[in-house]
Amino acid sequence: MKRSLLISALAVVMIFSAVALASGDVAIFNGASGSNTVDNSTNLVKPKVTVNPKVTLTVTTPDANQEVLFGTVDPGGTAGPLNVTLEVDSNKAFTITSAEDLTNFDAIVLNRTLTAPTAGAKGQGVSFTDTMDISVPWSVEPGAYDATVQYTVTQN
Amino acid sequence: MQEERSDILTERRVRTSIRAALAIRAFQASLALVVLVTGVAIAPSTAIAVSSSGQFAVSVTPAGAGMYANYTLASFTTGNKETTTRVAITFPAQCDISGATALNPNHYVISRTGSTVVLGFTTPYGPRTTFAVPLGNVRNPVTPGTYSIASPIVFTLQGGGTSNVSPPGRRLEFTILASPYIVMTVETPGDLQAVDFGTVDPGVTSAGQLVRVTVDSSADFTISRGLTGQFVEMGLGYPLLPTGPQLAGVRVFDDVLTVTPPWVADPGTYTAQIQYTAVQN
Repeated sequence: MKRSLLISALAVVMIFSAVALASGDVAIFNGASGSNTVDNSTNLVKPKVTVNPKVTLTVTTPDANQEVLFGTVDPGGTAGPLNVTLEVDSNKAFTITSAEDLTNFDAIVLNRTLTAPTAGAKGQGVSFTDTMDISVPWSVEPGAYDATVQYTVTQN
Repeated sequence: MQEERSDILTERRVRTSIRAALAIRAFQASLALVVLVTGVAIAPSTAIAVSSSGQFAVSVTPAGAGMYANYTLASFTTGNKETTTRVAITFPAQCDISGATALNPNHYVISRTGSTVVLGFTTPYGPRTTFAVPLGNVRNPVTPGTYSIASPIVFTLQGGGTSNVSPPGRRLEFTILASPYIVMTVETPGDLQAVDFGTVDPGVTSAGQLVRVTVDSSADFTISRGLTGQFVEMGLGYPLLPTGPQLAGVRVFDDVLTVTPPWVADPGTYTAQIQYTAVQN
């Protein structure tokens, strides 16, 4: 009876010990007999990481609140160029596109030149410039007009 | 008439003598039977169920002082009606059994207490079965010399108790050889020496992961680290290891690793390999 109890106690100790050891791995390496060198070449440490896809876009406008203000322009006149700077962080080659909404711009002409990214460009701080200018025809009545430009960056 | 009487008397004496002799012999036979029965009853109920067989001995590989070695005790043989479920082996105190492992797939470590390792058998060994008990990762004494293992204790089922197994007139002795020794232990947070940083965004530094390298050397030594694989794409970060000679004895080096994946590396999974080397001066 006493022997049975002792065995049970040992089993309990074993269970707790097994849980404590399960959190990692221990490998032991002997130097070869008579050798003065030891290494873990038979079982190397193996770091591993999975890197997420990620892309960020920073848009810098000449004016606050993401605005590009051409000021007051006479009919028949032009304004600009003004630059919008775009900076992309992407860990994969990407494509940048833009779309204009000129619903509230009447007949005002918005000219834009967006530099295209170098093929396969990726990394941190990849910069582009969207250069804008406008021309106002006489058919446009006096008043304030605005448009919007949306930029989209997509990893290839 | 007298002669006849004499003859009759003689006959009677003879007959009497025969009867007495027969009676005595019968008694003797009875006595012998009693003794035999008593002898069986007196025989110990804890008769040895498992015996040693062949050249019962312990082998140690490697046998250098301070090295981690495999110890094999062979051979055991179970008795005619016995089943063996486990064995307890007590090593000399100079051995380090804290990391002892079972080398036979049918065996598993139940406990390590003091100097005693208890091994269980997933499939018990049945009657008249010969088996060996190999153990791994037992550290040899650091002092050369001859050591002995106490008689292993084998636990049986039908026997209801333990049986001590030892070669008659011989202890389980082994010899540890003098040699310079250097032993390295590497502990990683993941199984199979893995360090898994999970998923990380580019440009972000992960939490540190600890790799602990312990070197036990009989002489001063230097330690270095070598990297292979995609450690650049991972942005693997690591501290400087101490340079110059490290003192003999047990030295611990904590290598806290990080990753900061660069933006120029595509999304995906990257792996690298790290080799640690310690060389005595």
